Amino acid sequence: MFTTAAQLLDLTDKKLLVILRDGRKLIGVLRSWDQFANLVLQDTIERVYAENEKVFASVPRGLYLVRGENVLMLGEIDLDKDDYVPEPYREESTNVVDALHRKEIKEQKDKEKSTRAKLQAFGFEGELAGEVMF
Amino acid sequence: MLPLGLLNAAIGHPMLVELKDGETLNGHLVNCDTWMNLTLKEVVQTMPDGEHFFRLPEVYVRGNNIKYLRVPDEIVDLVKEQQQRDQASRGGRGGSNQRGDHHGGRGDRGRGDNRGVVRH
Amino acid sequence: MLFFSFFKTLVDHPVTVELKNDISIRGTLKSVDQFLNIKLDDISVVEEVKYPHLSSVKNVFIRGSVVRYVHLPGSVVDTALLEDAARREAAQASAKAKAG
Repeated sequence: MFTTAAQLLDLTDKKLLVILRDGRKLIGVLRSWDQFANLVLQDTIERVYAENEKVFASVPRGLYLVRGENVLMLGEIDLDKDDYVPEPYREESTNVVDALHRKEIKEQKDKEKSTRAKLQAFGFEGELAGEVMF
Repeated sequence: MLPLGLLNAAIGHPMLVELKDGETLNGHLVNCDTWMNLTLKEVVQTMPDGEHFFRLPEVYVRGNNIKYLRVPDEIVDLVKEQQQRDQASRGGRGGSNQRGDHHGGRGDRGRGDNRGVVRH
Repeated sequence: MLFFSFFKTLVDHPVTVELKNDISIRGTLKSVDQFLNIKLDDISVVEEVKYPHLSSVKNVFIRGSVVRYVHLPGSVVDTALLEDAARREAAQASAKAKAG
């Protein structure tokens, strides 16, 4: 029978994109994991995108131990298409992208807040129940 | 090398801990357990807004609040060394004092010649 | 466990998984586990320009709790069988409730 662990076994020592619940995107080599899907990522970089401005930046981050419950999705990177980012995105300096990214997050949070308020007026909870995801 | 094995090997070393609420803690790892509960010393706490900082001499973190940890790259090599030592001491079972050997390993870890600051 | 069993019958079929963060990912269903975690092969993102970060990824493992919808090809769903299974499971559940 299929188990979560068997899936991680296939991905060991592979270059992965890991998306966290807070929206962070980490690219690193999966070196180790355990039954809680805690992950050890080596030579990790963080990719920051500003979707409205169509720019991105890569920040070297090093060695990570990610607690399993914070992982939203992980994918194996196709080494033939490594570091491919579709048009019209272009790489920019970390500072620039970071500032834009922060602004976009704030806008998104504000939007979600007002959506939630409107839903609440009708007696709905909203599926994320306060948690922001990207 | 299990994730918690890596954490163990990082005892005595600087690390960055980010909590689920976005708060970060920069400090030296004093101790940890199998639930990922941690004690840190000489800590700088950064609030989620990234603009407010606090210095704390000692911090206890309950494991379930952790989002991730960033540890120095060299810890991977340390784990490897430690595993080799453990294997050697297992091989020598029944021979010389293996507990003593293991304790020596701990001392090594604390020496931390390659301490650096983990930058956010 | 009904949906776990059901999803297992869909392995090797193309599906589109829509996540709670509005991303839709198309791919071949490779596996599913008891938490309804999903593994997809040969993926493509429906709105690539809006979500550029998955462009160099070939397969993904998605945590079940972040899935909003799984869009299925209608042809591979045996609705009669599914209804039967649902009734059986409901009958079992109520028998258990009476016994307990």
